[in-house]
Amino acid sequence: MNKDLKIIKKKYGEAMMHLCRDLFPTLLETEGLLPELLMSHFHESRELYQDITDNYLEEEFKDIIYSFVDVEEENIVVNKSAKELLEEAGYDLYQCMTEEEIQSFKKYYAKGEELCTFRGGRLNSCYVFFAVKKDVEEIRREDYSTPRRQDEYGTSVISIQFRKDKTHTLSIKNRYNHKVNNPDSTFANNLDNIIPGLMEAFAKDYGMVQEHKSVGFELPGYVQANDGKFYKYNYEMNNIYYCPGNIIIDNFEVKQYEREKFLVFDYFILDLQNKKIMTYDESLGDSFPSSIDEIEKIEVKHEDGNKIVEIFTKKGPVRITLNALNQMVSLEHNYVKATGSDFLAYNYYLKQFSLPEAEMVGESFLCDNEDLEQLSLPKARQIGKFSLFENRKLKGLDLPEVEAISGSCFMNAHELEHIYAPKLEYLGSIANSKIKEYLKNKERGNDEITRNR
Amino acid sequence: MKSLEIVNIENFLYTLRSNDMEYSLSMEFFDIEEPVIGDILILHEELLNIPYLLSFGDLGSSYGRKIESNDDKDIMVLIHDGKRIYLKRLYG
Repeated sequence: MNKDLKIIKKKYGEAMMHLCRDLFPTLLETEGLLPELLMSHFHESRELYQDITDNYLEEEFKDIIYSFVDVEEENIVVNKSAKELLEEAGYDLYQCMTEEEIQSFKKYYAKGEELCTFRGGRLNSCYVFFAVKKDVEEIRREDYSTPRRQDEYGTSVISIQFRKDKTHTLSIKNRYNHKVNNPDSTFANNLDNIIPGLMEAFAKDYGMVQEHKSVGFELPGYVQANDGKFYKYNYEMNNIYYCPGNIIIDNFEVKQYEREKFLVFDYFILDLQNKKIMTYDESLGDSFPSSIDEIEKIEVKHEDGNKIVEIFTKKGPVRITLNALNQMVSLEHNYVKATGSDFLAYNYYLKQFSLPEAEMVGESFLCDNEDLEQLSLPKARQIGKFSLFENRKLKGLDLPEVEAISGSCFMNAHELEHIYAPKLEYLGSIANSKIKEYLKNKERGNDEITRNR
Repeated sequence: MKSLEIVNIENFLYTLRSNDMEYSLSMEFFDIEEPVIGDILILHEELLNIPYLLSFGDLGSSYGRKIESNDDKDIMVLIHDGKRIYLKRLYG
């Protein structure tokens, strides 16, 4: 196997290695080039391949890697105008100064693929250009049954638009429009990808000096830090990104926490040496760390690809299961009696938990959680408002002692099948309709949902 | 999804605030009256990273993708005078 492919397989996995072999055969001819490009721009991750393919971004990934190659080369000094350069690339360039001029290009777009530029008013916010391939009449939409952003049709008519402010941020619109991914980032929003020197030519000819060069690569769930690399993240709050691999990116600055001393999971930091747990961003006000008593010992074991973190305190143990991305997926907290407000309010990924002693659950309990399907709180008597507000997967509520559920709890749990709350007397004014119906039935003595339990 | 308050509007440049963080987004709106300072926008966090002009319009508009899920990242909610208006991202 090619040496570069071996490196890519080690850092990014076998599937990524195969993808790179297919997409970058010419780059692989220069030893060391492709791994260097990848590692300079994408933090090592075995999820990168899946994230690219799940979002159908293979073409965009290819574009962005090639655009990095262009940056690596020496700057090309070009004395040609933007019009001349585009002529060389096979395009005619038009600048639109009026709405009528813009509308004259609508004819090139298939029905249902027109740019929203044609709705009017774009000249208020952007400088608008169109570049049309000289052989555009020969490039027919019906010959392209599977649109791909960078194919001949998609790039045969492009609208090049610069924001009308000092940034002159660029967006290159695709002839397929929203029928392809990232249609507003054709050629990765880099004019030099059309023909080298074009960016500088637009700056010289039209004053379109770009304050920030657009990367034009949007990969859902990734952030580009100020070291230029894309990092996968688990959470983003207050412009702070919490990433797998013990990394927190704060205001685009990468902070790598030493694995021997710290464990970063969700948006918490577990200090293994000083035996403390804290929220990195205190302004979040999450009460989970304060629910843990003084820590005596911490053990971390690996089991089936997960990390099992056991935190031993005088009051008892807390057991946390983290998946390979250091997302908390399971929690056993055997002694907390009352959770404060915002207990794991921002957690998305918890699928199982056990709070056997909790008698009261404060407001916004697991407010943002999306993955929990069953909620069981055997001793809880009260549930604070906004608890599990965002959850859409909840199927069962097992609340044998609950007397009061405050407003706006479980508001998006439309799939609830099973509710057991025989002591429920009070429901907040804004309530889940299925729980309302349950309470009404209970009051009538017609508790059908509990009979189905 | 993130909830942000519009704290300033200058031409098409919107300054949005959430907790103590401020973001700048260049946006245009179709099919509705333009938002004003004090309105709330609820949108997907990834849109906050996009530096070029973003366009939003009616959920049924042919200038955007067909929305088939409440979680679609193209959805935006505008809260104006207590009313929720659902919009989607338009392209081009």
